[in-house]
This record gives sequence, C-alpha cells and structure tokens, in this order.
Amino acid sequence: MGNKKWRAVCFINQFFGQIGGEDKASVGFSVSDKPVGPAILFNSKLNGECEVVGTIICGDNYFAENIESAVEEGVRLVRDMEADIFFAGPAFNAGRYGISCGNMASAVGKQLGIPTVTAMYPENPAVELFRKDTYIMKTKILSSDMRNIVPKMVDIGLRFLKNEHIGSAADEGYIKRDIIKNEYLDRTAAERAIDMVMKKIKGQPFVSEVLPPEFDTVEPAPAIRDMAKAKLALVTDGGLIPESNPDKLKPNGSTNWGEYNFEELLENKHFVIHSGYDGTSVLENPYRLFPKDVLVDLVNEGKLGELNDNVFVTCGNCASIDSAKGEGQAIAKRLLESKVDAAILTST
Amino acid sequence: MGIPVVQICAVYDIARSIGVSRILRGFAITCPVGNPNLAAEDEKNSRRRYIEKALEMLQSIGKSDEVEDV
Repeated sequence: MGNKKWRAVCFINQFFGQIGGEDKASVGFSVSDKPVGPAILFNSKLNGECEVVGTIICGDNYFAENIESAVEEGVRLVRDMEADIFFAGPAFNAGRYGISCGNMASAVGKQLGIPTVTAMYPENPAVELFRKDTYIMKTKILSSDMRNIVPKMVDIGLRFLKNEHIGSAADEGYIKRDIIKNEYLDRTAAERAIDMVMKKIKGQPFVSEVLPPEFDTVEPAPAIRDMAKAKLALVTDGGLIPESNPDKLKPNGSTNWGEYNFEELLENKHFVIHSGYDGTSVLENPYRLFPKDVLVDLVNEGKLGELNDNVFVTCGNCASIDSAKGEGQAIAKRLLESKVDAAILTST
Repeated sequence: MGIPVVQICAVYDIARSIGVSRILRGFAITCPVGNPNLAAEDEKNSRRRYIEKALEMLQSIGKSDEVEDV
C-alpha cells in the first residue's frame, strides 16, 4: 500500500508563469496539473511526503482590478485540486502580485482551512493587508532571492501542515502576525519586566516583547467651499515624463519627482518610465492619466476656478514608504507655493 | 492646513489601508480616467463623469475608510 502524498498547489502570476510581462498582465486564470516556473523549485524542495499537484497562474491586472471575483474563482480552483497546502508567490516587492498572493493565501486559508504560505519584501504594500492572515516570509527586494526563499517557505509550510512547532516571527523570518501564543519561559513575567525597566532606566538597549502598532494617521484636509473659486493641480504616480528625464526618475524604487508644464510635456518627446504597468494606453491618450481636457472645459464653464499649468509627476513603482512620504511633502510644498487649493492624484 | 486630494486609482486597497481620505475607484490600472473601449466622444464624457465626481468629493468631508465609485 503506497503512502498518500500531501497535495500542494502553487499560485503565480503571468510573468513567473512564463506567459508574458506587463503586456499580458490582464490574462485570466489558467491551470496546469504540473509544476510551472517557481513551482518546479517548490516541488524539488518538498520531501517525499508532499508534491505539487497543480500550478495556478493569473495576470496581475486581472486579479487586482476585480479582486472579489478573482478570489472566488481562485479559491474554487484550489478547492477543485483538493489541495492540502497552498503556496503563493513569492511576490518580493511587486505591489499587484503581493495583492493577488496575499488575497489568495488569506482566502484559501480561511475558506478551505488549509495551511497557506506566501513571501514578500517587508515594504510590499500588501504586507500590512495580509500579515495577520497567513505566513508572509520576508524576502530580499529582488527576485534573485527565489532560490533562498522557496526552501524557507516549504519548511514552514510543512511544519504548519504537520502541526509542528513554529517559532516567533523574529526567529523564523516571517512578518509578525500579531498572534499571541502561550509559551513556558525560564523567568516569570515580573522578572522579565523588571529587567527591561532597569535597562531602560540605565539607557541600555532592551527588546520589548510586544510592540505597539505604528499609526501614521493623517487628518483629511478640509473640504473646498466652492470649486468655482478654487485652483486645482494634477499629480500622478504614473511616470509619464519628458524623454530627457531631467529629474532622473527611476523605473522603480524612485526617489525623485518632477514638475512639468503640461503643454510642453506633450509637445516634446515623452515616455512612461514606470516599469510596473503597460503605458500604451496613456501614451495613446495622455488625458487618461492627466484628465486636462475635461478640466479645461470645467474652467471655461465656470465650474472650476483655475487649473495649474504644471503637473507633478512621480513614479509609483515599488517606491519605499519613506521616499513616497518625502516626495509627497515636497510636492505639497510646491502646491502651496503655487497657491493650489486642491489636487487630483491619478494612480496606475 | 492640508490640501484636499482625490486619489483616482483602480487598485484602491493600498490607498485605503494607508488611510487616504478621498478615494475614487479608477477605470483600470493602465487607464485611471477614461475608457479605451469607447469612441473618443464617449470616452471624454466618461472622463467627465469621473472628474465631476472628484470635484464633488473635494467639496465633501474626507472619509478614510471609504471608496467612491463614479
């Protein structure tokens, strides 16, 4: 009588599924009953007790633009494969891929009750959304970390499956999940707390056992009383910039931004530097990113006071939180100097 | 003394989780404002609906956990 192997299912995007790049980001779900792309590596690292029985591939845009229906479709596919364990990604720092991996890992875990593991770079915006629902192993920023991270995902996944001990986030290398587990320790809480207080008083380093959540709440700015008297500016993170790239924006991980006269931007050679989306649509018609045609009409009709001549452009692909904040503050300063009352920010 | 902003984006989860207070769901990742499937005139009308909604939101109180649709 042969041993029944546990069934692992892997979820990857169109790029890792070898379907295509940004141009294929809108493809829907496809399924292979064999390991494809990274799933081959997963399969080779799973020991004899478990094997990859299927790979689910889905385009980043297809998923991100219709999350609810994509989750429903995806969970159904995992259920049909009778998965015992589910691996998503790794997504590294890719925002949309992080969203699809996080959504899938979370929904599969909740709806099918099976262990799920994914992996992301800690600054991936999807981390905060899903860290409580699944194990998000910490990756480096580049996908060259694949060979290093897949064995770690497999290791924690199998332990999860077999109900073996999984240690703290710090010890195991996953993003903290805010799960409180009871553990036996050598010293009582009183002893550990006094120890920490003594260190704090002496100005010595200590490690808190529970960290308070970090909030960065921004009060919504007050509403405009009358748009007919207001000056509006357009801001975008879609990265449509002059061909010469005078402000040295980068295709991803950008720390710079630019302010451009809109007419000049369009009259001269321009391109989309943002490498995280297919810029064909906005290059065909830049009003899709900078809705100036409609805004000019509204000014002429007296419904909007004034439109700022310059547009503010950055590149929103894998920008670090600190960079994004810094750029926002710098752009806001320019908006205030230009006596702008309100802004529309378009994001791709 | 902040400047009210409406963010138009198709993928609104990230904006919402950060606490952006005026989010308008955009048409698509590659086309935030407009609809490339429509004829030029119709697309401009579609774009106008987005912008009129955005201006309306700028004149209303910002709400951090909501996403508006056109």
